[in-house]
Amino acid sequence: MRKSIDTSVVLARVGSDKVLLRELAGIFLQECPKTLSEMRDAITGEDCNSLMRTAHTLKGRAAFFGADPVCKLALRLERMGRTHRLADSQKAWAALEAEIGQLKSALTALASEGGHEDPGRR
Amino acid sequence: MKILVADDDPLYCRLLETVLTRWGYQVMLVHDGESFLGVLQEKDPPRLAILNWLMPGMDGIEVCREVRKRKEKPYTYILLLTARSQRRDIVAGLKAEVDDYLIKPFDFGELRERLQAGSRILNLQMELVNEREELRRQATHDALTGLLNRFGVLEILEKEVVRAIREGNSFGMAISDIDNFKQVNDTYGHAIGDAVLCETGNRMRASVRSYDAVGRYGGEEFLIVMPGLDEPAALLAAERLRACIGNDPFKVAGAHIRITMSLGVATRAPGWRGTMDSVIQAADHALYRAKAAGRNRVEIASAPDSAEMTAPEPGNAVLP
Repeated sequence: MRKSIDTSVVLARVGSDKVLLRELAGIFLQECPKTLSEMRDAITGEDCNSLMRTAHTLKGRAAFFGADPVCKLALRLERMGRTHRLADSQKAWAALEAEIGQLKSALTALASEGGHEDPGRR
Repeated sequence: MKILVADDDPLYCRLLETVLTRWGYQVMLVHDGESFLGVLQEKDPPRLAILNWLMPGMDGIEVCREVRKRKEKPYTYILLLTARSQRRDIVAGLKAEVDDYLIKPFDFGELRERLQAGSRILNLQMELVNEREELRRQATHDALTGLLNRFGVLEILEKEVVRAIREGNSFGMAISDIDNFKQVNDTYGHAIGDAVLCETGNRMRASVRSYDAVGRYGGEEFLIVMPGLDEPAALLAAERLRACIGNDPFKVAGAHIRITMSLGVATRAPGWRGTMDSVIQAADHALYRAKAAGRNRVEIASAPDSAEMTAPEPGNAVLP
Protein backbone atom coordinates (compact mmCIF):
# COMPACT_ATOMS: atom_id res chain seq x y z
CA MET A 1 0.00 0.00 0.00
CA ARG A 2 1.14 3.55 -0.78
CA LYS A 3 2.33 5.35 2.36
CA SER A 4 0.32 8.42 3.23
CA ILE A 5 3.12 9.94 5.26
CA ASP A 6 6.87 9.64 5.07
CA THR A 7 7.92 9.18 8.68
CA SER A 8 11.65 9.31 8.02
CA VAL A 9 11.36 12.64 6.20
CA VAL A 10 9.24 14.21 8.90
CA LEU A 11 11.43 12.86 11.71
CA ALA A 12 14.50 14.35 10.09
CA ARG A 13 12.60 17.63 9.83
CA VAL A 14 12.00 17.80 13.60
CA GLY A 15 15.53 16.72 14.42
CA SER A 16 14.34 13.21 15.44
CA ASP A 17 12.24 14.64 18.24
CA LYS A 18 9.49 12.02 18.47
CA VAL A 19 7.75 13.72 21.38
CA LEU A 20 7.38 16.90 19.35
CA LEU A 21 6.30 14.93 16.30
CA ARG A 22 3.57 13.17 18.30
CA GLU A 23 2.38 16.48 19.65
CA LEU A 24 2.25 17.98 16.16
CA ALA A 25 0.34 14.98 14.84
CA GLY A 26 -2.13 15.54 17.68
CA ILE A 27 -2.55 19.19 16.70
CA PHE A 28 -3.13 18.20 13.08
CA LEU A 29 -5.85 15.75 14.07
CA GLN A 30 -7.42 18.22 16.44
CA GLU A 31 -7.59 20.97 13.79
CA CYS A 32 -8.59 18.67 10.94
CA PRO A 33 -12.39 18.57 11.35
CA LYS A 34 -12.63 22.39 11.46
CA THR A 35 -10.41 22.88 8.42
CA LEU A 36 -12.26 20.23 6.42
CA SER A 37 -15.71 21.57 7.26
CA GLU A 38 -14.56 25.07 6.26
CA MET A 39 -13.30 23.68 2.97
CA ARG A 40 -16.52 21.81 2.35
CA ASP A 41 -18.56 24.93 3.11
CA ALA A 42 -16.37 26.92 0.76
CA ILE A 43 -16.95 24.45 -2.06
CA THR A 44 -20.72 24.19 -1.51
CA GLY A 45 -21.03 27.95 -1.07
CA GLU A 46 -18.63 28.62 -3.99
CA ASP A 47 -16.56 30.87 -1.77
CA CYS A 48 -13.33 30.92 -3.78
CA ASN A 49 -11.39 33.05 -1.33
CA SER A 50 -12.19 30.81 1.60
CA LEU A 51 -11.40 27.68 -0.44
CA MET A 52 -8.05 29.09 -1.44
CA ARG A 53 -7.17 29.94 2.15
CA THR A 54 -8.31 26.72 3.82
CA ALA A 55 -6.81 24.51 1.12
CA HIS A 56 -3.56 26.43 1.47
CA THR A 57 -3.51 25.84 5.22
CA LEU A 58 -4.21 22.13 4.80
CA LYS A 59 -1.53 21.91 2.14
CA GLY A 60 1.02 23.49 4.50
CA ARG A 61 0.21 21.09 7.31
CA ALA A 62 0.16 18.02 5.06
CA ALA A 63 3.47 19.09 3.52
CA PHE A 64 4.99 19.15 6.97
CA PHE A 65 4.25 15.43 7.38
CA GLY A 66 5.42 14.63 3.89
CA ALA A 67 1.86 13.64 3.00
CA ASP A 68 2.22 14.07 -0.75
CA PRO A 69 -1.20 12.79 -1.92
CA VAL A 70 -3.12 15.15 0.39
CA CYS A 71 -0.71 17.93 -0.50
CA LYS A 72 -1.31 17.56 -4.23
CA LEU A 73 -5.09 17.51 -3.88
CA ALA A 74 -5.06 20.48 -1.52
CA LEU A 75 -2.92 22.36 -4.01
CA ARG A 76 -5.40 21.57 -6.79
CA LEU A 77 -8.24 22.96 -4.68
CA GLU A 78 -6.21 26.00 -3.67
CA ARG A 79 -5.59 26.76 -7.36
CA MET A 80 -9.26 26.30 -8.18
CA GLY A 81 -10.05 28.86 -5.52
CA ARG A 82 -7.41 31.27 -6.75
CA THR A 83 -8.47 31.04 -10.41
CA HIS A 84 -12.21 30.97 -9.56
CA ARG A 85 -12.69 27.69 -11.46
CA LEU A 86 -14.68 25.40 -9.23
CA ALA A 87 -15.98 23.04 -11.96
CA ASP A 88 -13.88 20.07 -10.78
CA SER A 89 -13.91 20.96 -7.12
CA GLN A 90 -16.43 18.27 -6.09
CA LYS A 91 -14.33 15.57 -7.73
CA ALA A 92 -11.13 16.83 -6.09
CA TRP A 93 -12.91 17.09 -2.76
CA ALA A 94 -14.06 13.46 -2.92
CA ALA A 95 -10.50 12.33 -3.67
CA LEU A 96 -9.18 14.49 -0.87
CA GLU A 97 -11.61 13.04 1.66
CA ALA A 98 -10.41 9.55 0.84
CA GLU A 99 -6.74 10.53 1.19
CA ILE A 100 -7.39 12.47 4.38
CA GLY A 101 -8.90 9.33 5.88
CA GLN A 102 -5.64 7.46 5.33
CA LEU A 103 -3.53 10.35 6.55
CA LYS A 104 -5.60 10.58 9.71
CA SER A 105 -5.15 6.89 10.51
CA ALA A 106 -1.40 7.19 9.95
CA LEU A 107 -1.22 10.23 12.21
CA THR A 108 -3.44 8.66 14.83
CA ALA A 109 -1.02 5.76 14.96
CA LEU A 110 1.87 8.20 15.19
CA ALA A 111 0.20 10.30 17.89
CA SER A 112 -0.82 7.37 20.06
CA GLU A 113 2.23 5.16 19.95
CA GLY A 114 5.27 7.12 18.99
CA GLY A 115 6.01 5.67 15.55
CA HIS A 116 6.99 2.26 14.24
CA GLU A 117 10.70 2.80 14.29
CA ASP A 118 10.93 3.42 18.00
CA PRO A 119 12.39 0.14 19.25
CA GLY A 120 12.06 1.11 22.91
CA ARG A 121 8.31 1.19 22.57
CA ARG A 122 7.75 -2.14 20.91
CA MET B 1 17.40 37.11 21.77
CA LYS B 2 13.71 37.87 21.43
CA ILE B 3 11.95 36.67 18.31
CA LEU B 4 8.48 37.56 17.10
CA VAL B 5 6.52 34.90 15.24
CA ALA B 6 3.31 35.59 13.32
CA ASP B 7 1.49 32.53 12.03
CA ASP B 8 -2.20 31.70 12.09
CA ASP B 9 -1.69 27.94 11.84
CA PRO B 10 -1.60 26.22 15.27
CA LEU B 11 0.59 23.44 13.92
CA TYR B 12 3.35 25.76 12.76
CA CYS B 13 2.98 27.97 15.83
CA ARG B 14 3.59 25.04 18.14
CA LEU B 15 6.41 23.79 15.97
CA LEU B 16 8.18 27.14 15.82
CA GLU B 17 7.63 27.87 19.48
CA THR B 18 9.16 24.54 20.47
CA VAL B 19 12.24 24.63 18.30
CA LEU B 20 12.96 28.34 18.74
CA THR B 21 12.75 28.01 22.52
CA ARG B 22 15.08 25.04 22.33
CA TRP B 23 17.56 27.15 20.37
CA GLY B 24 17.53 29.76 23.12
CA TYR B 25 15.19 32.36 21.63
CA GLN B 26 12.55 34.14 23.68
CA VAL B 27 9.50 33.51 21.53
CA MET B 28 6.61 35.97 21.21
CA LEU B 29 3.70 34.46 19.32
CA VAL B 30 0.96 36.33 17.46
CA HIS B 31 -1.63 35.03 15.03
CA ASP B 32 -2.19 37.91 12.63
CA GLY B 33 -0.44 40.81 10.97
CA GLU B 34 -2.13 43.54 12.99
CA SER B 35 -0.87 42.07 16.28
CA PHE B 36 2.57 41.69 14.72
CA LEU B 37 2.67 45.42 13.99
CA GLY B 38 1.36 46.13 17.47
CA VAL B 39 4.15 44.21 19.19
CA LEU B 40 6.77 46.06 17.15
CA GLN B 41 5.43 49.35 18.50
CA GLU B 42 5.83 48.29 22.11
CA LYS B 43 8.83 49.29 24.16
CA ASP B 44 12.01 47.31 23.47
CA PRO B 45 10.49 45.26 20.63
CA PRO B 46 11.99 42.03 19.23
CA ARG B 47 14.34 42.78 16.36
CA LEU B 48 14.17 39.37 14.75
CA ALA B 49 10.86 38.22 13.30
CA ILE B 50 9.32 35.31 11.44
CA LEU B 51 6.30 36.28 9.41
CA ASN B 52 3.90 33.94 7.65
CA TRP B 53 2.80 35.03 4.19
CA LEU B 54 -0.81 33.95 4.11
CA MET B 55 -2.78 35.06 7.17
CA PRO B 56 -6.30 36.33 7.77
CA GLY B 57 -6.48 40.13 7.57
CA MET B 58 -3.20 41.65 6.45
CA ASP B 59 -0.93 39.17 4.68
CA GLY B 60 2.79 38.94 5.37
CA ILE B 61 3.72 41.11 2.40
CA GLU B 62 1.41 43.95 3.47
CA VAL B 63 2.70 43.68 7.03
CA CYS B 64 6.30 43.87 5.88
CA ARG B 65 5.60 46.89 3.67
CA GLU B 66 3.97 48.62 6.63
CA VAL B 67 6.92 47.87 8.91
CA ARG B 68 9.35 49.34 6.37
CA LYS B 69 7.13 52.37 5.77
CA ARG B 70 7.16 53.18 9.48
CA LYS B 71 10.96 53.12 9.50
CA GLU B 72 10.90 51.97 13.09
CA LYS B 73 14.15 51.91 14.98
CA PRO B 74 15.79 49.59 15.68
CA TYR B 75 15.57 47.72 12.39
CA THR B 76 13.46 44.55 12.32
CA TYR B 77 14.99 41.62 10.48
CA ILE B 78 12.09 39.76 8.87
CA LEU B 79 12.14 36.20 7.62
CA LEU B 80 9.09 35.40 5.51
CA LEU B 81 7.61 31.91 5.69
CA THR B 82 5.72 30.82 2.67
CA ALA B 83 4.29 27.74 1.08
CA ARG B 84 4.62 29.53 -2.21
CA SER B 85 7.69 28.64 -4.13
CA GLN B 86 7.11 30.29 -7.45
CA ARG B 87 9.85 32.66 -8.42
CA ARG B 88 7.59 35.65 -8.87
CA ASP B 89 6.09 35.15 -5.40
CA ILE B 90 9.55 35.24 -3.90
CA VAL B 91 10.40 38.33 -5.91
CA ALA B 92 7.24 39.99 -4.57
CA GLY B 93 8.34 39.18 -1.03
CA LEU B 94 11.81 40.57 -1.54
CA LYS B 95 10.33 43.68 -3.15
CA ALA B 96 8.31 44.23 0.02
CA GLU B 97 11.71 44.31 1.76
CA VAL B 98 11.67 41.06 3.66
CA ASP B 99 15.23 40.16 4.53
CA ASP B 100 15.00 36.46 3.89
CA TYR B 101 12.44 33.76 3.15
CA LEU B 102 11.94 30.09 3.77
CA ILE B 103 9.54 27.76 2.02
CA LYS B 104 7.21 25.59 4.11
CA PRO B 105 7.76 22.84 5.06
CA PHE B 106 11.23 23.96 5.98
CA ASP B 107 14.24 22.11 7.19
CA PHE B 108 15.07 22.84 10.83
CA GLY B 109 18.79 23.10 10.28
CA GLU B 110 18.20 25.62 7.52
CA LEU B 111 15.85 27.72 9.63
CA ARG B 112 18.37 27.75 12.45
CA GLU B 113 21.22 28.92 10.23
CA ARG B 114 19.10 31.55 8.51
CA LEU B 115 18.13 33.00 11.88
CA GLN B 116 21.80 32.98 12.85
CA ALA B 117 22.58 34.93 9.69
CA GLY B 118 19.85 37.43 10.64
CA SER B 119 21.24 37.79 14.16
CA ARG B 120 24.68 38.48 12.74
CA ILE B 121 23.31 41.30 10.59
CA LEU B 122 21.40 42.75 13.56
CA ASN B 123 24.48 42.62 15.77
CA LEU B 124 26.56 44.37 13.13
CA GLN B 125 23.91 47.04 12.85
CA MET B 126 23.77 47.46 16.63
CA GLU B 127 27.54 47.89 16.80
CA LEU B 128 27.42 50.53 14.08
CA VAL B 129 24.61 52.40 15.81
CA ASN B 130 26.48 52.36 19.13
CA GLU B 131 29.66 53.60 17.50
CA ARG B 132 27.73 56.31 15.70
CA GLU B 133 26.15 57.41 18.97
CA GLU B 134 29.55 57.52 20.64
CA LEU B 135 30.96 59.59 17.78
CA ARG B 136 27.97 61.85 17.97
CA ARG B 137 28.53 62.32 21.69
CA GLN B 138 32.18 63.13 21.06
CA ALA B 139 31.29 65.57 18.30
CA THR B 140 28.84 67.49 20.49
CA HIS B 141 30.67 67.45 23.82
CA ASP B 142 33.75 69.13 25.17
CA ALA B 143 36.40 66.58 26.10
CA LEU B 144 37.76 68.60 29.03
CA THR B 145 34.62 69.67 30.90
CA GLY B 146 32.12 67.13 29.64
CA LEU B 147 29.77 70.02 28.83
CA LEU B 148 28.26 70.44 25.40
CA ASN B 149 30.80 71.97 23.05
CA ARG B 150 30.20 75.02 20.87
CA PHE B 151 28.66 72.94 18.09
CA GLY B 152 26.47 71.00 20.51
CA VAL B 153 25.14 73.97 22.44
CA LEU B 154 24.48 76.00 19.28
CA GLU B 155 22.51 73.06 17.91
CA ILE B 156 20.31 73.11 20.99
CA LEU B 157 20.05 76.89 20.97
CA GLU B 158 18.82 76.83 17.39
CA LYS B 159 16.26 74.14 18.15
CA GLU B 160 14.95 76.02 21.20
CA VAL B 161 14.77 79.34 19.33
CA VAL B 162 12.71 77.71 16.60
CA ARG B 163 10.47 76.08 19.19
CA ALA B 164 9.98 79.31 21.18
CA ILE B 165 8.96 81.15 18.01
CA ARG B 166 6.63 78.38 16.90
CA GLU B 167 4.96 78.02 20.27
CA GLY B 168 4.97 81.75 21.05
CA ASN B 169 6.93 81.32 24.28
CA SER B 170 9.39 83.65 25.91
CA PHE B 171 12.99 82.67 25.66
CA GLY B 172 16.17 83.35 27.61
CA MET B 173 19.85 82.74 27.13
CA ALA B 174 23.13 83.93 28.59
CA ILE B 175 26.78 84.07 27.69
CA SER B 176 29.23 83.96 30.56
CA ASP B 177 32.96 84.41 30.85
CA ILE B 178 35.34 83.60 33.71
CA ASP B 179 36.90 86.88 34.87
CA ASN B 180 40.66 87.29 34.45
CA PHE B 181 41.12 83.64 33.50
CA LYS B 182 44.46 84.39 31.89
CA GLN B 183 45.80 85.29 35.34
CA VAL B 184 44.75 81.90 36.70
CA ASN B 185 46.69 80.17 33.94
CA ASP B 186 49.69 82.48 34.35
CA THR B 187 49.79 82.13 38.14
CA TYR B 188 48.98 78.45 38.64
CA GLY B 189 49.72 76.86 35.26
CA HIS B 190 47.49 75.31 32.65
CA ALA B 191 46.72 72.12 34.59
CA ILE B 192 45.11 74.17 37.35
CA GLY B 193 43.44 76.34 34.71
CA ASP B 194 41.90 73.19 33.23
CA ALA B 195 40.73 72.07 36.67
CA VAL B 196 39.08 75.47 37.19
CA LEU B 197 37.26 75.10 33.88
CA CYS B 198 35.99 71.67 34.92
CA GLU B 199 34.82 72.88 38.31
CA THR B 200 33.13 75.87 36.68
CA GLY B 201 31.30 73.49 34.35
CA ASN B 202 30.18 71.29 37.25
CA ARG B 203 28.93 74.22 39.30
CA MET B 204 27.02 75.69 36.35
CA ARG B 205 25.44 72.39 35.45
CA ALA B 206 24.27 71.96 39.05
CA SER B 207 22.86 75.49 39.10
CA VAL B 208 20.55 75.31 36.08
CA ARG B 209 17.29 73.40 35.53
CA SER B 210 17.42 69.97 33.92
CA TYR B 211 15.97 71.30 30.66
CA ASP B 212 18.44 74.16 30.38
CA ALA B 213 21.62 73.55 28.40
CA VAL B 214 25.13 74.67 29.32
CA GLY B 215 27.91 74.51 26.76
CA ARG B 216 31.53 75.55 26.50
CA TYR B 217 31.27 78.28 23.90
CA GLY B 218 34.95 79.19 23.68
CA GLY B 219 38.09 79.04 25.87
CA GLU B 220 36.61 80.25 29.17
CA GLU B 221 33.28 81.32 27.73
CA PHE B 222 30.02 79.47 28.27
CA LEU B 223 26.61 79.64 26.67
CA ILE B 224 23.46 78.88 28.63
CA VAL B 225 20.11 78.14 26.95
CA MET B 226 17.09 78.77 29.17
CA PRO B 227 13.86 77.98 27.31
CA GLY B 228 10.68 79.63 28.54
CA LEU B 229 12.32 82.15 30.86
CA ASP B 230 11.18 85.77 30.71
CA GLU B 231 13.42 88.67 31.70
CA PRO B 232 13.00 88.55 35.51
CA ALA B 233 13.34 84.75 35.64
CA ALA B 234 16.38 84.74 33.34
CA LEU B 235 18.04 87.45 35.43
CA LEU B 236 17.44 85.39 38.53
CA ALA B 237 18.92 82.29 36.92
CA ALA B 238 21.96 84.26 35.73
CA GLU B 239 22.45 85.75 39.17
CA ARG B 240 22.37 82.22 40.61
CA LEU B 241 25.04 81.19 38.11
CA ARG B 242 27.21 84.17 39.02
CA ALA B 243 26.86 83.38 42.71
CA CYS B 244 27.61 79.66 42.32
CA ILE B 245 31.01 80.55 40.89
CA GLY B 246 31.91 83.67 42.85
CA ASN B 247 30.60 82.89 46.34
CA ASP B 248 32.88 80.01 47.28
CA PRO B 249 36.54 79.82 46.33
CA PHE B 250 37.64 76.91 44.14
CA LYS B 251 39.64 74.24 45.93
CA VAL B 252 42.00 72.99 43.28
CA ALA B 253 45.16 70.95 43.95
CA GLY B 254 45.43 72.19 47.51
CA ALA B 255 45.00 75.85 46.56
CA HIS B 256 41.98 78.04 47.27
CA ILE B 257 41.38 80.20 44.25
CA ARG B 258 38.78 82.91 44.05
CA ILE B 259 37.06 82.80 40.69
CA THR B 260 34.34 85.13 39.46
CA MET B 261 32.21 85.14 36.37
CA SER B 262 30.42 87.81 34.36
CA LEU B 263 27.23 87.14 32.45
CA GLY B 264 25.27 88.82 29.66
CA VAL B 265 21.61 87.87 29.45
CA ALA B 266 19.23 88.26 26.51
CA THR B 267 15.55 87.41 26.60
CA ARG B 268 12.73 87.54 24.10
CA ALA B 269 9.09 88.05 24.98
CA PRO B 270 6.36 85.87 23.44
CA GLY B 271 5.60 86.77 19.85
CA TRP B 272 9.12 87.67 18.74
CA ARG B 273 10.37 86.56 15.36
CA GLY B 274 14.10 87.22 15.44
CA THR B 275 17.01 84.99 14.65
CA MET B 276 19.33 82.98 16.83
CA ASP B 277 22.23 85.23 15.82
CA SER B 278 20.42 88.37 16.97
CA VAL B 279 19.91 86.89 20.45
CA ILE B 280 23.52 85.72 20.71
CA GLN B 281 24.72 89.16 19.67
CA ALA B 282 22.50 90.82 22.28
CA ALA B 283 23.80 88.55 25.05
CA ASP B 284 27.35 89.14 23.89
CA HIS B 285 26.91 92.93 24.09
CA ALA B 286 25.43 92.58 27.57
CA LEU B 287 28.43 90.47 28.63
CA TYR B 288 30.74 93.18 27.31
CA ARG B 289 28.92 95.73 29.45
CA ALA B 290 29.19 93.47 32.52
CA LYS B 291 32.95 93.28 31.97
CA ALA B 292 33.23 97.02 31.45
CA ALA B 293 31.20 97.70 34.60
CA GLY B 294 33.70 95.86 36.80
CA ARG B 295 33.13 92.09 36.29
CA ASN B 296 31.49 89.54 38.65
CA ARG B 297 28.10 90.84 37.61
CA VAL B 298 25.09 90.21 35.38
CA GLU B 299 23.90 92.60 32.68
CA ILE B 300 20.74 92.28 30.65
CA ALA B 301 20.53 93.19 26.96
CA SER B 302 18.23 96.03 25.99
CA ALA B 303 14.94 95.11 24.34
CA PRO B 304 15.26 94.02 20.69
CA ASP B 305 14.40 96.26 17.76
CA SER B 306 10.70 96.73 17.33
CA ALA B 307 11.18 95.15 13.88
CA GLU B 308 12.02 91.85 15.54
CA MET B 309 8.82 91.97 17.55
CA THR B 310 6.45 92.99 14.80
CA ALA B 311 7.84 91.33 11.68
CA PRO B 312 4.78 90.23 9.71
CA GLU B 313 3.96 86.68 8.74
CA PRO B 314 5.72 85.91 5.44
CA GLY B 315 2.37 85.59 3.69
CA ASN B 316 1.24 89.04 4.79
CA ALA B 317 4.39 90.89 3.72
CA VAL B 318 3.63 94.35 2.39
CA LEU B 319 5.28 95.15 -0.91
CA PRO B 320 7.51 98.24 -0.86
